[in-house]
Amino acid sequence: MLKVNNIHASVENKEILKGLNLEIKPGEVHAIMGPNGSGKSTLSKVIAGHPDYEVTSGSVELSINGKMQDIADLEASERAREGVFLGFQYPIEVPGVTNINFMHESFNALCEHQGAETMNEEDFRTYVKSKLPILDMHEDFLDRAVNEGFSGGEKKKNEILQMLLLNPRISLLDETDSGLDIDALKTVARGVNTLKSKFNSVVLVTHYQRLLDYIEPDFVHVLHDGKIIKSGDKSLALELEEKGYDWLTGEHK
Amino acid sequence: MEELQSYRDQGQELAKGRPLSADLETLRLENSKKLESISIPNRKVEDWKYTNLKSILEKNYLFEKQSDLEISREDNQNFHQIYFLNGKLQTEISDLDNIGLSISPLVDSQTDEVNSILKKKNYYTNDFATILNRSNMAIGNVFTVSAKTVIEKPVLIHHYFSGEESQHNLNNVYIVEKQAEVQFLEIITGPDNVFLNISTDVVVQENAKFGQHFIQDARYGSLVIKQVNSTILKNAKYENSIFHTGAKTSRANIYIGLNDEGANCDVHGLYALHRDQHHDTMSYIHHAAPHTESRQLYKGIMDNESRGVFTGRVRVDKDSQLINAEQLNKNLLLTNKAQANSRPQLEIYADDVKCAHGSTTGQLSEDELFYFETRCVSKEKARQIMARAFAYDVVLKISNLKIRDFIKDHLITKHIVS
Repeated sequence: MLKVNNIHASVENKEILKGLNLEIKPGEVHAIMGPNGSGKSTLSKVIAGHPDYEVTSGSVELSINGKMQDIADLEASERAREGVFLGFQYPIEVPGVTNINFMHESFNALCEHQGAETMNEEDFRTYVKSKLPILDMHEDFLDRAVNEGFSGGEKKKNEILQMLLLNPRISLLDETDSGLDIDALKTVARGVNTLKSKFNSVVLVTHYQRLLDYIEPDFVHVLHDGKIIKSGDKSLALELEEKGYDWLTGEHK
Repeated sequence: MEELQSYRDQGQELAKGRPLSADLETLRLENSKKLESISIPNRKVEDWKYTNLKSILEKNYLFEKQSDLEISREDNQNFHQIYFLNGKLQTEISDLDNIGLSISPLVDSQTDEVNSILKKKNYYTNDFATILNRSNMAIGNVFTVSAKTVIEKPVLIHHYFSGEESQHNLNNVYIVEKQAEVQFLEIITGPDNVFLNISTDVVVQENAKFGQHFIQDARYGSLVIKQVNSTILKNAKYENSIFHTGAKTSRANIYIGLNDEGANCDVHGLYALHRDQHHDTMSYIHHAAPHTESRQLYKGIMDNESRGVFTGRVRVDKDSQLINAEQLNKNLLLTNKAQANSRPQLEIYADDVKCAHGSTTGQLSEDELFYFETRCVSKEKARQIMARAFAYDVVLKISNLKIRDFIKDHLITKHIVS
């Protein structure tokens, strides 16, 4: 599904990723953990195609039409249409554009790309409404400006709602658990679990083991100084919770 | 000064065929005289410092270049429709019967009231646009909605102007009498490159409600000066907005006098510019009575190498206590070569007032663009959605929904983002 090959990436000439390898197969859930500044957010932005991040060597391959292809030349919107979804740590506010309008544009852009029929406003609203109960969201959210005046939890739920609408093949969720109380965390996890299937993969970028109680990972990776220094199964997350990162990063040094 | 000689001569010529009352003839001559001593707006004239008309007016636009044009009526059930060509009412294709609105040429309706409206002095009395306009009287019309008349359906007024390099000084007067209510949407358009200098003198009488919205969509090579001089009386409500999408160079001179208690205005504008278009709005809101309110939102979207200028003055007289004034100017620059100038000015002599003003200029946020992109929307489409959202903010200030929709459609067909 997705393969990151020995990638080096910089932002403003500062190298953040320093030779990172990762392979994600359909249906897998990966958790990426690591201390602050280790490059976790950079990794998801590089995969999503953020223009400020420059890949200096290595490659990201994505399965497109059943074939693994280097996506270096694809714009962020093209990657999204091929099934890459980035859930933002800090979802962006877009004043003046209503949430429903935003999601409608997004959904129809995807339909067009897939050669499917686009949906009219009314049908789309009905479709979105069918997803709201999964996330305990009220219809009011649809007619407010995108993320404007939303609480932290509401913003995160809104990200997951968009994910459910687009049904991406690979979801990169960047600290989706940060700033959530336990109820919101459970709701968000329920949303992610609704999407999970043997065709869809999820990458959870997180500081805390807490989220992994609700979304069970197949693999846990520890990122430090731009590289994955340790991979394991979910028990690794528990071990990190208990011991912190020092024993690993020290080991690495 | 000699540079305006030809414009002065044209005014004299024009007056010969159009008999003015003694009152208006005096006004015309006064201004004709002033025209001798002023210069074409340029950098040294404070209120015009960003808009130099010298090279444009050297072109010598002429009245005699006005030409005929075949206009056909558009199909639109949402509005009463009125058509003008070069300031002349096109009766055959206009809805004039029983709609509650009377329209007559200015030369035939020089009542004391009309004359006093045209003679009224305000901030722009000695401005170039006023002087030129008043020295070139009197093509124009008087629109009257009589007391207690409520016109439910909004009125769509098409102002067509034709004749390549023709000059048009238009004096339009609007009187909305006591307790009357009406909504106008006026479109300034035409197939040729013209020079328009249109004055709009308005009185909204006690307890009346008047909505007056404009789309300035003159042909690209045109010069348009739009003047609004409105007097709002006791407990009357006035809504005004101008959407500038046309003309290579355009200017709006806005004066709103809130002259009695409870007078209230919503004055908004959008300039959406492409190529090397240049727009300049000068707004002057005069709180001349206590308990008056004004709200202003002016937005500019500048693409390519265009430039938008906004100067907004709010004046609160010494005895105008307990007023509320809001003014905001926001500019969006779509390229590195586009420019915006913004000058908010407050002149407050009362001490118990609420005045808020602000000004911002920025580009589309990269973060917002990336957010759209990660949601499958291309960068170009995202730019368009965001710029439209920025513009619609002004449209949403209009209370009449039919006028709102019409303006939205206009902005879409004008590709406010290329």
